[in-house]
Amino acid sequence: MKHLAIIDIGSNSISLQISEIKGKSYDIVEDYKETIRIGDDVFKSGLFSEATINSIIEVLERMKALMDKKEQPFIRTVATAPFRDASNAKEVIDLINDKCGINIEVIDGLQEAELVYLFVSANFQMSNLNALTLDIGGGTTEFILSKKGEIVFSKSLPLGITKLTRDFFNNNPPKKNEIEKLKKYIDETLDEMPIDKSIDTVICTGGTINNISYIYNKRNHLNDTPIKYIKRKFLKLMSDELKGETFQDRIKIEGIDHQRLDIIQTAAIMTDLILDKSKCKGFFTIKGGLKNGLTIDTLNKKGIKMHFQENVDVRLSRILEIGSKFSFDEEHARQVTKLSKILFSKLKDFFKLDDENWKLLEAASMLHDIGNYISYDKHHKHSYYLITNSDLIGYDDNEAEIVANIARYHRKSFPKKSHEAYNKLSNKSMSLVKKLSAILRIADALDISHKSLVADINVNINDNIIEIMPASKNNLELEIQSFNAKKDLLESITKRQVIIK
Amino acid sequence: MHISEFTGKTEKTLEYLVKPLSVGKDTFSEGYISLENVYKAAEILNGFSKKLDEYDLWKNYMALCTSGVREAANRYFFIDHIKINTGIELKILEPSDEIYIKYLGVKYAMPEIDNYEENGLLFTNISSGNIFINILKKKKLILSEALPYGSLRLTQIFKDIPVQKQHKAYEQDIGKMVFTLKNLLPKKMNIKNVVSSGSSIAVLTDTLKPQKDIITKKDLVSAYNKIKEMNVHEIIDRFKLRQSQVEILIPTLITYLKIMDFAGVRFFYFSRNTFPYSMSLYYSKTIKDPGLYNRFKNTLYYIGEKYSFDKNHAKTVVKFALKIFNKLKKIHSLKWKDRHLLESACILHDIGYIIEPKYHEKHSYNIIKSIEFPGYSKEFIEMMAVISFLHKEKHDINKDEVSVKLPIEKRLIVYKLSSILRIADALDASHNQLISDLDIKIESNAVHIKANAKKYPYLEHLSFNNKSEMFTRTFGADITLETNSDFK
Repeated sequence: MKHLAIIDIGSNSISLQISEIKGKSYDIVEDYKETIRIGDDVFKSGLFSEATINSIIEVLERMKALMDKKEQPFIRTVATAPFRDASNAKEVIDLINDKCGINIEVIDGLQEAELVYLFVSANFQMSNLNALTLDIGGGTTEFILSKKGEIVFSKSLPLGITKLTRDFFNNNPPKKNEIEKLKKYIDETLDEMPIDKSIDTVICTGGTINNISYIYNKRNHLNDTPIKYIKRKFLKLMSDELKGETFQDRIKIEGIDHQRLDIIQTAAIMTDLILDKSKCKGFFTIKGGLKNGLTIDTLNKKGIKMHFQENVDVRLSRILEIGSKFSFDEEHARQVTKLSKILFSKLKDFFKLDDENWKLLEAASMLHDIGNYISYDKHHKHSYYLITNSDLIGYDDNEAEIVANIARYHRKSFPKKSHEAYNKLSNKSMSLVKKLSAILRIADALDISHKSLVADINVNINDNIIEIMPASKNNLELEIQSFNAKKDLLESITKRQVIIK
Repeated sequence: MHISEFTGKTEKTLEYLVKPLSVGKDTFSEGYISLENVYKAAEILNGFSKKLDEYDLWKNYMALCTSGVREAANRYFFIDHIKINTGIELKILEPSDEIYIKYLGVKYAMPEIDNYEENGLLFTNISSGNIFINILKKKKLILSEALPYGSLRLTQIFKDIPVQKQHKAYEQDIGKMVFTLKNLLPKKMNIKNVVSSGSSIAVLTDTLKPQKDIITKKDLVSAYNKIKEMNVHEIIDRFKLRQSQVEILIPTLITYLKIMDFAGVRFFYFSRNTFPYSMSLYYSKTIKDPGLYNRFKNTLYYIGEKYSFDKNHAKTVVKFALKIFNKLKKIHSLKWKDRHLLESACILHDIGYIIEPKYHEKHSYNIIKSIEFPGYSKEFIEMMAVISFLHKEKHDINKDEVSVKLPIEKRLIVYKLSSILRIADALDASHNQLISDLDIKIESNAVHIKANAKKYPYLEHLSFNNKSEMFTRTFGADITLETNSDFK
């Protein structure tokens, strides 16, 4: 199997994701989505109407065209809430099988939640967290509570936002007492749930909550990344903004999904109530939770394990994945990382660095050369570009920028305020970039031959001089040469002479 | 300085003047040209300017600088100083233009290169600052790099190392360069021929005195082994070289040996063409490069493959776009060069997929911008990148961040071409070649496309509706799509 296609038929949209399987990871090669609210029928009348059925078939036909271009992809199609609830679901499934040759698998709420959790654990170091993972759908919302990476509780509740909106809001815009009633209902339903102050992380998935985080990022001029962190304050702001507005008037909100004008308010209200019960001041959103969970699950069933399932550290697995994607020289990357780590530990106190800062240098050391994939000429700049456009795990936007900047300065040029990408960093981040890229330059120089000749490094720091003493059984002529060419940044920021012994 | 007279296509060299001055020595060690050398250069060029007077060539000359000036921090001061003191206007040559002119010059003198290009050729130009390497196979440019390993540069980098040890340092450093090259090349790439040129050739021929325009590895190895053991004076006496030549002799020999090892050849061809001579041929338009267009096109497909693009889709989009372009000639009034631009953008419009599908047009733009191809201007590449960027309908023209950087007349071309690209891309939206051919009719205020499809192309219709607006706004004509209805 080279390609795997996942179709997810949900209440508010049907989406297709085709992945190319690459060893222990996969690359998404097609991402196609149509927003079609097939749940509306079912929540209203209990069955799919003729028109809805036809629209589903049309969408699936278009998706088939996209899948057909890949060589016999393995196809898995799953449907959630509407297909669980509609009384004519079975006939519709047969009809679709007949017409499109697509076999729909209906999964229950808890299966859905576990699949989402699978993808979440590929992107968060769950073993460090007490996390609540939520899949906020149109018909139901799934809750998964995990402590240190173990699922301790999971439940599917009928708190779907399309359903709630339909049940509680009869006016446009909704009246105050309607909102109050909705809040009360959600609150009471949540009371049965073991959500308390021990939860330190809330992770949400689902189209509408992702739309909220998209609006948030737009307003704050942040990149549109698959994983986002949103402050709780924003939910209050959003609820206030939406309060007096008719659904039609909400169009003017920048970034809002026009198919979700009515239900977005319910999503904001519910998420806020859930956060209230935890100690979290914000929450993460993650995109494509179910589809990616299904991709991983399908691969697991075929006997393929992902990097993150074999390595305990998801952060590092992702770095390796990115490196392999852009054909890095893994041995050189690992050697430079090893040398960076030694230098980091020896210079840490002198530079007043935290242990926390190591992960920045680690990623930059592993990925400093990936720009070679685009071209050798200016490869440091290409490395910057590829790093900022790859989804590192365990690094927020600012940290990813720092990592990319460190990699960008591994060659000749010093960090300069005239460089836009550097200039937009805070002073604190700039100082980190300077120190860490100074280390990376030395580490890279000491493996200039790409032969892993240096086994260890000793460092001596006094008032005027920093002595770097690499230990090796080999002749280090080239390394020393390169060292002398690249020590300049370290000399400049420490105001000391740097010598190699 | 090279002065030529042209009668028709025949060039006759009237004068060739050389004045040695290692401007690069300063640049490669200090990063700028010393004032002393600025004055010396002005003096030399002042002498040359007399020749311009003598032949009345002030309206017909070209004065170019390469790495020694290009990389100097005070290059603008240098150029300004020369202009004020000698009247000569210097231009800085970009590396990709430099190698192109050098390559063409050699090709002119050595027509057999055409065959080598087909079977696998490493063309190199080793001068004082850079080593240029072009690797070609099957009329594709596999690699084109300017590597900062020129002989004079190396001597400057390693000048503080004891003389007895220098050759080891050179060996390691050039070894590193070859290692980099190996990593950049596809595995199992077979290079059959090596052709070399550049200022390093004079040193080699003065030392080895080859009979034909060929140097063998055997001769190089034996010369290197001998010279390694000799001191400067012995070398000068034995080979009758100038001091400045002796300085770069060892790194030059090592560079050639390493490159021959890398290519796996036992000998290489060389051309004695000097750079000023190639320049005369190039700027007088004596040299033609009829293979350029095809070489570029083949290379774009090669780049596409490197980024795992969907080749069938790319070819289909090219086919449709060019058909529309040809049919609409009267409406768009664009030139042949623009057609070529359209074709190039079509080939690579989707390569950004490798980074992530969602913003692939932005990534395509950035990857394309990094392409350097000798013979193609930066502006051409930039326009190609912008057209690819605009293929996604979410980008509103006039508002997008990339096309506004272009001058207004180029922007119009870009809009026209990306309107066409959008239509062509929509017609293969499924990437499945459901539509096999088009029939295009133009009426007073509308363009009608009749498509021949195997199945009903749902996605193509949907995409066409989304993507055709730009076409209407750019050309002021409606565009419609109709597909035949006799499906099985």
